[in-house]
Amino acid sequence: MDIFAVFLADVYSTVARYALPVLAAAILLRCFASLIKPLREPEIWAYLLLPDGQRIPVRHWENTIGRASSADLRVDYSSVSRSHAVLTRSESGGWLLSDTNSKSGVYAGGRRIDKTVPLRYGDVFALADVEMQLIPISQAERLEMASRPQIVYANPALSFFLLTVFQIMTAVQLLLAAGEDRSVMILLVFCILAATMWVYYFLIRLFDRTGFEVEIIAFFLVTLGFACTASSSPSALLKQMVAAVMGLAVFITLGWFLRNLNRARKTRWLMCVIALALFAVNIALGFTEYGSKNWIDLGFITVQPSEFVKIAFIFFGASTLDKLVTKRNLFTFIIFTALCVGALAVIGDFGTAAIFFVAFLVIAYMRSGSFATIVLICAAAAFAVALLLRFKPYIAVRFQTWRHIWEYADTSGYQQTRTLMYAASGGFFGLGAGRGRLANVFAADTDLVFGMLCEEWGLLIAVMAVVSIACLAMFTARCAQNGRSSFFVIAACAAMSMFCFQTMLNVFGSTDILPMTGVTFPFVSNGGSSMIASWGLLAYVKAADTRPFASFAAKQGGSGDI
Amino acid sequence: MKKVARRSAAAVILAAVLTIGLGYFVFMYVTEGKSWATYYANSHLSGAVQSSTVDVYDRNGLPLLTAADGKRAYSDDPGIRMSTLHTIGDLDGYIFSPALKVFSEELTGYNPFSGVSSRADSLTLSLDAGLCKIALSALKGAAGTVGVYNYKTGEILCMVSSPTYDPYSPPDLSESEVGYEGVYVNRFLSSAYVPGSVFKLVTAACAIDTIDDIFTQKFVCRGSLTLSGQKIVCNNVHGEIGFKTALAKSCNAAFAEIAVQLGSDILGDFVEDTGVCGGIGFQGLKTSSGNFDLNGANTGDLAWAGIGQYTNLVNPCTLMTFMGAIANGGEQRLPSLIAGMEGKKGEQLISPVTAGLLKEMMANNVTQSYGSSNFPGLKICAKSGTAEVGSGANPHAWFAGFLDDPNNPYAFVVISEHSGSGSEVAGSIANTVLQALVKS
Repeated sequence: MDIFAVFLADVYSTVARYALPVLAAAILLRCFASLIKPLREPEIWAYLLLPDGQRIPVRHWENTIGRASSADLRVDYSSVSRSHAVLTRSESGGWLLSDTNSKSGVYAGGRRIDKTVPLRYGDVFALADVEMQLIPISQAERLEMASRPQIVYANPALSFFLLTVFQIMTAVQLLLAAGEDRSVMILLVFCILAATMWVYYFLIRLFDRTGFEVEIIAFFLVTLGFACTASSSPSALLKQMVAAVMGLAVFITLGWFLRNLNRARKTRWLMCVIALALFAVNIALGFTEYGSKNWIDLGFITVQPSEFVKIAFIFFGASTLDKLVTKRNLFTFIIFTALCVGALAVIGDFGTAAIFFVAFLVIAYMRSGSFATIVLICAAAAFAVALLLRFKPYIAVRFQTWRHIWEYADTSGYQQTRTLMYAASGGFFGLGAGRGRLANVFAADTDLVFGMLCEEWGLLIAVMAVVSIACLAMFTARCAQNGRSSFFVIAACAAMSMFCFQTMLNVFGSTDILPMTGVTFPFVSNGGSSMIASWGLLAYVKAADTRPFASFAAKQGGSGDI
Repeated sequence: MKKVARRSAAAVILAAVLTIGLGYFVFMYVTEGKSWATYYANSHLSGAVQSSTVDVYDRNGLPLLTAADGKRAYSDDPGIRMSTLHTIGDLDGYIFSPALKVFSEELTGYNPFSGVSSRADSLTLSLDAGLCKIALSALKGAAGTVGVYNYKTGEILCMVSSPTYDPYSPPDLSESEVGYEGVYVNRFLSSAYVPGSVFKLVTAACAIDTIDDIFTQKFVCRGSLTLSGQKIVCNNVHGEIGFKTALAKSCNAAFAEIAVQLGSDILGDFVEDTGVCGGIGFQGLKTSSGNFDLNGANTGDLAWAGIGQYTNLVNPCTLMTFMGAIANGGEQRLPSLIAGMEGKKGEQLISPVTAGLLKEMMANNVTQSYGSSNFPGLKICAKSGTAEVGSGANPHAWFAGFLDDPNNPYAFVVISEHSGSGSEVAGSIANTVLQALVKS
């Protein structure tokens, strides 16, 4: 290369080194700012008219009615049970009234109802002896709600544009660092990524939705992941790109599917069967790679079925409020979880088993609200882990290395010491995509990908990547406050808990804060199954996003779709 | 729904744990990042001489290893190439490179903010390459080592290991091991020798500390004595002899008796405390360890140990810093291989009083035995050694000491293998090197 070209490349690398973190911060801050914008007054779907003339706004699709202060619709009469009934909005816009095993019963049409009856506006019904009516919101209110100024989110087109610039700069960085034989592939993959992103943007804009923060964060993480894959295992880049496009398709499909709650709840058992079938296939046909038998070979490609089970697991675990209040026990779900975790133990994938277990804890807690149950379950799990360590000594070895990696720096602590050593080499701004040395260490772009982020992208961007996962979780919890159905709320929280815990295992495992387990960083780690599953899980977050005109996976509320 | 919504705190808790853990990582990164990054395996920093991007210079700015046409280039002077080979390392990676090691360890510019990208791209060694060249030629082809350092600052000025070769024409040793002779070993840092009589300094220091009347005792040397059935031969028949003269004449009979007076426990503890027979570490380098083991030793063994034979071994670099400690009033100064960077302060190895008395005796050694005229103009304090290394083999010649001169605060060690008399052969090498150093 002539001197001038070398000089230009140097100047570019220096500029990009500082420009990329700034760009990343701009993209993510725009997303975070939108995500934490004060929630608007929650949607009002109807009113509950009490004997004293009080009108209680019905703000969710699923509402408990009762005397308790925690009831969604509080009816403070002594004859009413603390949790008496559940009022559910059906898909068609009608309402269903369910007795939740109350002592004194629910009466509609002059008779005590057995389980659930449909309810029309104006119908008089009674909890014990307290008569009430459901009345629709008025035309004026409907108009008022429709005419409320639309919340302006940070312009998604600009965010996508910034992200595209980020991607172009990344590709150039990689081209400068990589050998010429790789350049076509790198260009191709980054172009397709950017194009996919824009096609998605215009597609969703057709449906008049403007909230893209969740997807932008995911696309940002995918971009970082592509760069790490390009640096460490370039031959896997094309496969990873195909997986990302397939993942986006799964995201859109599942998101669309979740729009219809009825449809979704009818599929729960199917999901259960799919999950168990996937595990059965895995155990029967699986082959072992790197200690766990979690791979199956489809001839043209190898997949990890356990990744896809994550989606089905949450689907089956989530529950609507009427079920949740009437059927308090978690028996079937516990059995299901035991089967899943047991299957993972047979396969030998204990990292994923731990992720399933955490998702189970979150779902169990959200459904039951009982800390005692959770503590009991955790105690049982601790016992199981103790047994595991007794009978699978190679796992105990990992625990021996834990917090002692420098004593085993070149043997059992090899990966962690390399992660730390090269992470520290990167400084705050990194050495530039494609210029790292951790890339040559086994599993650099999967289990150790956080180290690669630190080394090539710098501590700032590595921290941003982790924080963006935490932010999505915070956002999900906020959306829950205006949640329509507990099904969406539980599913979204469980999905985000999986993401958070998985990120913890990945980041803290490779940096010796936790024992090394070898799980992927959502969206970033190289791995097709993991990529597709991550997008699938993200659909749950999207379905719980009830901000007006934000999510394609949630039907428009208030005046809109009724 | 309210209840379920409230329970979404579960996701918040996980997010919080993730964030706290991340905060902990960042904390560790900032506080421990340097020790992570400077782990020897970090190929950004160390690596082989060939792949290194670091330019290395001597203290006077003489290039020792630079880049030329994308290749690594050594000095143009073959004498400098050969005498600094064991500091710089070879192109094939047979010889460890202390220079690149101290560079990766001290990395002068590393900080967690800018990572390794802020590292310096050159390293100026404390070595005087010209002095190294003189030292190598003074060895006259004998195997051995010459080391000189400033005992005030710790800077190593001369580090030479022989045999050596020109890195541009490496010997072909793949055929046989005959020509090997430890040519890849840095004898100064990575070897341990039988100390012979230079070890009497240690025995003497222990005696000054332990035996109150040591300076007034009289020993009788009849040329040899027998202890536990072992005959200990002296270099002469010294007759009645005092402590100071016994050191100057290097009287084995007297020092055998002193060792027996001290006993295994006291002498063993003293050697352990001063670390003379251990190894030292500085700037990421570790010297070889020596040996001193009186387990199961009888009186004869103890006597031999006290005069530097038996199973005793010392590392030349470690002994040199012990010489520095004597010069410094007992306080050790660890070496440094980087120009302008002081070595770390070490421990107080011996008391200032003991150090003062030893210094006097070492000055007396020169005037009484080695001849001041052999070291013109040098305020030299030293001890010679002629270490027996097995029957039939010519003994190793040792000469170790320091200049008691605030303008020239140098401690040194010279070993010329199988070369005979310590004071004559090694002493003359020391003189050549020190004269050149003091003049420069």
